[in-house]
Amino acid sequence: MSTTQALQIHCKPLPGLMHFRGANMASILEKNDAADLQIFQYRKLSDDRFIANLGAEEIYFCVDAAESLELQANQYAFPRADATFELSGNWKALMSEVCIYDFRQSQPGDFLMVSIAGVSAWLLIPEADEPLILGCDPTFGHYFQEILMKQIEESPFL
Amino acid sequence: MMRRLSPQPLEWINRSQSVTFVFEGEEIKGFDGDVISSALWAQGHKVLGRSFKYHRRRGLLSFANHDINVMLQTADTPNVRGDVVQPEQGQTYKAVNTFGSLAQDKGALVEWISKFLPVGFYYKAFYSPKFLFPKWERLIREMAGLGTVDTSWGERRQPKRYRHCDVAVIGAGPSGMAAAIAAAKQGVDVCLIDENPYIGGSLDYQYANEEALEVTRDDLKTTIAEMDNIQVITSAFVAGFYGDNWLAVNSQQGLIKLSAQSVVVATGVFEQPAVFRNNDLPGVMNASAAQRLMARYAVAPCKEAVVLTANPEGYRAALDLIKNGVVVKAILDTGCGENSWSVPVKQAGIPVFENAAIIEAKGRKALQGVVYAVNGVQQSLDCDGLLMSVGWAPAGAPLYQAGSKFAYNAILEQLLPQELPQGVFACGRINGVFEIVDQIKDGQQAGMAAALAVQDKSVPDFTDYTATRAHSHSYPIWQHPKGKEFIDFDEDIQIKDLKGAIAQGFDNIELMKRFSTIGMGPSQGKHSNMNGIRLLAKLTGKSIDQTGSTTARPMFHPTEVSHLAGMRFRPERLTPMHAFHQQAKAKFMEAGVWLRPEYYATESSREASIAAEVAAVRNAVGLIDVSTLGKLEVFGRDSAELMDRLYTMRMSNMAVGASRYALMVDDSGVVIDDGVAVRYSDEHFYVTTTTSTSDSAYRMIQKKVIEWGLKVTVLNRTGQIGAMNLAGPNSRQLLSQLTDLDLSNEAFPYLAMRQAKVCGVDATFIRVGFVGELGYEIHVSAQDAEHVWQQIMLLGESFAIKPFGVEAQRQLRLEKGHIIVGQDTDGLTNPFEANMPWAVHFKKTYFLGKPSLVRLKTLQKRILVGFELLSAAADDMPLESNLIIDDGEMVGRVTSIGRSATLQKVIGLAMVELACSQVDSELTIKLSDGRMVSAKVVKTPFYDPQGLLQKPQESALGGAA
Amino acid sequence: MKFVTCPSLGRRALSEFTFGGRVEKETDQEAVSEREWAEYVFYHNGAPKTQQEWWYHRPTGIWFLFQRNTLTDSITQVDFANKGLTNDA
Repeated sequence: MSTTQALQIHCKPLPGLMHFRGANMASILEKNDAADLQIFQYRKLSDDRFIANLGAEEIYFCVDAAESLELQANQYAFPRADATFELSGNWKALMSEVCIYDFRQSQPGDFLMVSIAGVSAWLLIPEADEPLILGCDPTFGHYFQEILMKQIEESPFL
Repeated sequence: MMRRLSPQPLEWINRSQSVTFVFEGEEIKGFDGDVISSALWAQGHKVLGRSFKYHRRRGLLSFANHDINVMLQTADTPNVRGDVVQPEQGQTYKAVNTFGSLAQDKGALVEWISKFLPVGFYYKAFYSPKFLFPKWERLIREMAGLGTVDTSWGERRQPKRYRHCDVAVIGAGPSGMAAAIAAAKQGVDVCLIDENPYIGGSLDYQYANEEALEVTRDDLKTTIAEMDNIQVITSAFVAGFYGDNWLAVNSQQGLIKLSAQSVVVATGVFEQPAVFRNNDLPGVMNASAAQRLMARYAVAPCKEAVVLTANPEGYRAALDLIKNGVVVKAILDTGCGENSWSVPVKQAGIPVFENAAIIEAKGRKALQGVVYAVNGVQQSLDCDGLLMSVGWAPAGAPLYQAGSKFAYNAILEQLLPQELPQGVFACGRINGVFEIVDQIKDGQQAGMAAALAVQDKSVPDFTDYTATRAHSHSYPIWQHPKGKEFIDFDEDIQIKDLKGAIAQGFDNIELMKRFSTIGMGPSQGKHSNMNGIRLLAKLTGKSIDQTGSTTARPMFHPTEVSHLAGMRFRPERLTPMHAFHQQAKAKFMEAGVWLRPEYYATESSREASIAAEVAAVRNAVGLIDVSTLGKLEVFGRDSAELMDRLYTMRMSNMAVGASRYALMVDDSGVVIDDGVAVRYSDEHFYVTTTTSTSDSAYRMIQKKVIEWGLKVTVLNRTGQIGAMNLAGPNSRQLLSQLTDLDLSNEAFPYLAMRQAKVCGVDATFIRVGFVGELGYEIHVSAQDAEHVWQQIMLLGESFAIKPFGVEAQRQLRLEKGHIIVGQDTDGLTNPFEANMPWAVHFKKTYFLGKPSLVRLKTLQKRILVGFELLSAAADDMPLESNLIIDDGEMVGRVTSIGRSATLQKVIGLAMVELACSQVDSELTIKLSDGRMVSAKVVKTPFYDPQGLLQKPQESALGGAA
Repeated sequence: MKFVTCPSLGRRALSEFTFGGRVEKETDQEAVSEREWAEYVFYHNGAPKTQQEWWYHRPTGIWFLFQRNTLTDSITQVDFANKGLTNDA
C-alpha cells in the first residue's frame, strides 16, 4: 500500500520527453489512441511512454528515444530535458508540506501543473497505490530533489 | 498541602504516570496531562508569577490559555505559558521578570514609587532631554519585561503544512461539536479545531457534574470519532483568519495553513474578571478558571471560597465547589437572582447575599478575605478563594478578522456578531446562546448552513436561540478610594490609569489603548478590553456600540517564530555545466536565482585569477557558461511582426541566418531588456534576454501576443538550452576541430548565425563580439551542454584555453564599452541616454514605447560615457554608484568601473549630464570616504575601437546598422 | 490566501499567479497626442471599482483575465485571456 510504504524519491530519467507546439495537435493525439484526452489529462502508452494534452496547440509526448517523429507543417517539436522523478509511498503527505494545491480535486490521469516549493512542476497523477511521476525545469532539478529529500528526512510527519 | 482532588469524571490527568520538574528551585510532582500551572496549584503554590510593571504577586486568573500571570523561562525557551504547556519531565522553570526570585522579587520596589509613574509616563517623562531617552529605555526594558532570549540559541524551524477542507469548525465545545456533525452529515469534509488537548469545551468543565448531560456528551463525542469525514485537530488554535477562509492553524507540531470553503466560528466567550481593589491577589480567579482546575486537573481552587456572581454560571461553579468539598462561605449576587442552579445552592445551606457589591480583597501574599457590601452595609468574610462570575466577552478574533461586525445586546449585556461575511457562520455562546440544548441546536443549524453553502444550496432561515436574560454584569467595576483595581493584568492597568488617559483627551477606544497600553500585552485584551470599553463608555456617556472596540489582529494567541519561519524554500537554478564549474574551483555568485561562476580560483588571489582569465580571452581562448541567458523561441505566421513590435530595431528585414542586437523598452521608453535575436526561418526566430528578465520578458511577450492578436507562439526554453561563449583569437581554430561547419569569414561572417553539429550534437552558433574578440556563442540542448563544454575544454588544452567567469566577462565587455542592462541603465534610462541611438528604428510604424522615444529623443539631458581615471593610486578607486560632482552639484554617477589589465588603466562608464559628456571633459568623482578623484571622458570602446579583433579582415554583414 | 477557480485548472491559490496590470486599450501610436500618451503611460485612476485584470498562472504559463473589485478584493469572473489554447501557431 502506498500510504504505508516509506516515502522515497528516485531520479526517473525520461530522455524521450518532447514538447510539441503548433497546429493540429489533435492529429498526434489521434494517432496515439488518445483523441479523447481532455485538456490537462495524460495517458500512459507503455512503460515510460505517455502523452499529455496541454491544449489545442500544445502537448507533452514522452517517446522512445529512438522513435522517429513525423511533423506536419506548422508543427514544432522541442526536446525537454526536464528533471524527472518518481515518488513512491504516501506522496500526498509530502505534497501537503510543499504544495498549496488541493489534491482532493485531482483524479488519476490528470496532468497537473503546480508550484512545488517555489518551482513550477508537472505531475502525472497516478492510480491509487502507484508511484507519482513528476518533473520540473532541469535547471531547478538539483534544488527540487534536494528540497524534497530534505523534507522527507526532516519532517516529523513523513 | 496538596490540593489534588479525588478522580473527576472527565479529568485530563493520567494518575498512573507522574511528571517531576523544578520550579523556582523546588521540585514539583504532577501527573501526565497536567499543565504547569495546575501542577503548581495542586502542590499548594499560589504565587505563580510577578506582574509586568509593579512586580505584584499573581496566581491563576483566567486559566483559559491566556493567563499572563504565569509565564516561565527555561534554559532554551522564553515565555512558556503555564496554563497551556505541559511540564517536561526534569525541566527547570523560573518565573519571568523577577529580580532575585519569585518569592523575594526586588522589582516589587517599583510599586512603592508607582504614584510617580502615572499612565503614559513612558511617553512623557522621558521624552526630554532626548539624549537621555536611550538610557531610560534600557532601564525600563530591564525592569518591565517578559522572558529573555539568548541569541546563541540555534535556528528553529517547524514545517508548515497545507490542508484543505470544505467546512472548518473553530472550537469543539457543545455547539462546535454539533456543527461539525451536522456539516459532516451533509457529506462534506470537516476539520474540527480546538486549542485544548481534548474536545468538549465548556460542556466538559462547566457541566462536568451535570449527570443529565452524560448521554448528550457521549453522543456528540462518539459520533465525531466515528465519522470519517471529520478530522479533529486538537491542541491547535486559529492564529489568524485571512482572506477566502484561509486559516493559520497553530498546532504544537507547526503551522497548518488550512483552506476552508466555509467556516463555523464556535469559539465561545472569554470570562471577564470583576474590577475591584486587589482583584489580582492570588486566590481571586474567574469562576470558569476554578471549574477548569477541578474538572480537567482535579485540583481544588481553594479551601474556603466566596463566589461573586452576576449570572447563573456562578451558582453552577458554587455547586462544583461543594461537590469537591470546598467550603462555600457565601454567594455575593450582584443582580442575577433566582435560577435553576440557585435553588440547590440554597438547599445546601449556602448563604446567598443579593444586591451585593464587592469592596476589596484582602491579604498580604495571597487572598485571606473579602470585604463586601449588601444593600450598602459593609461586611467581611475570611476565605482563600474568590470566584468571579460577572460576565463574558466574545472570543471574536476570527470573526473580526473575517470582517464581521459586533453589536451590543442590552438584554444579554454582551457583544454579539452581526453581518457575517459569506461562508462564515457563528454559533453557541459567541452567538449569545447559553442553554446547552440551544447551543447544540444553534451548532447544528450553523454546521448545516456551512455545508449547504459549500454545495451551493440555499440555506434555510436561522432560528434565534439567543438567551433572554443577562449573563454579564453591565458594569462589573467597583472603584475604591485607595485604588489598585486592575483592569488589565498584562500591563498592570488600573482604573485610575484609564481615567487619566481619558482626562488627557485619549477618549477614543483606539487612542486609549495606545496611550494606556490596555490590551497590548500578551493576552491581547482577552480579559481586559471589555471592561475597558465599559469604563470608557461610562465616563464619556456613550453607549457600548458608540464606544466601539479595537481591532483584533492576528495572532490570536502567542505564536512561535519557528512556526512562522517554516522550512526554507529558496529555489536555486544551476546550469547544465555546474558540476564542471565545481571541479574547476569556481567561486560562485548569485545572479538572481542562478548560481554562476564569478571566477575560477586557479591563481593565488581573486584578482590574479580574474586577470588570468581576461588574459586567456585576449591572448588565446576562453569559454564562459552563458546558459543563464533567457532563451525564447518565436514561431508562427506573425513572428516577424511580433519581433518588430517588441524591439526597437527592425527585425523583419533580418536575413535567415543573421543575428541582430535586440533592445526592448517599456511604454515610457525605459530600457528593460537586451539580447540577441537570430532568424532560423521566415517564421521562426530565437532571441535571448538578460539573465534576470527571462521570466518577466517571456510573460510580457505572451501577454502582448494576446493583446495584439498575432498568430505566433512564444516558448520559454531558458532552462532547456545550455549556452556557452567561446572567445579569443584561438577560438575559430579550436572550434573547427569539433564541427564540420565552415567557419571561414566568408561562410560564417561576424554577427551571422549557423545551425550545425558540434561534438556530434545539434547546435546553434552565433558569431558575437560581446567581449571584443573573435567569438562564437554555442547553444545546445541542456542534455548535451555538459558534453560539449567538456569536449571544448579537453581539446582546448592545446590552445591554452581557460574557463572564465562573470567578473572577467564584465571587465572584458567594459573594455569594449558594452553596457549591462540594469547596471549601466536604471529604471529611468532610455536608449539615447544609454548612447545607443543606432538601436532605435523610428521608420517602423509601431514598436513598444515608440511614442515616448520620439519625444525623449529631443529631450535628452544625460548620456552614458566612458572615462578613465587620472590618478593611479590604488586607494583612489571609485566604486559603482559613486557620484560625479561639478561645482558642488551632482552631475552624474559611475555605473561600471574596473582596472583594465589589458589597458593598464582604471576605466569605467558613467551616466553624466550632456554638458560634461564631451571627450576630454574632466570629471570629479566623489569617493565613498568623501575624497575627490579626477577622471576624464574618453571615447568608447576603450579597447580595439575599430573592432578589428572580433571580425578580423572583414566588414559587418547583416548586423547592427 | 485567496483562491481562484479557473477554467481547466480548478481552484488555485493566488500565490501561483503573477499580476499583470489592468486591461487597458492601448492608444493608437500614430494619432496619439502628447497628453493622451502621457495619461496612458503615467496616469492611473486608483478609485475603487470592479475592473478587468491580467493574471498569469506561472505553472501552466496561461494568462487569465479576472474581474476584480479593488475595494473588496473579490474576484467575480475568470476567463482565459485569449481564445485560450486555440490560437494556431
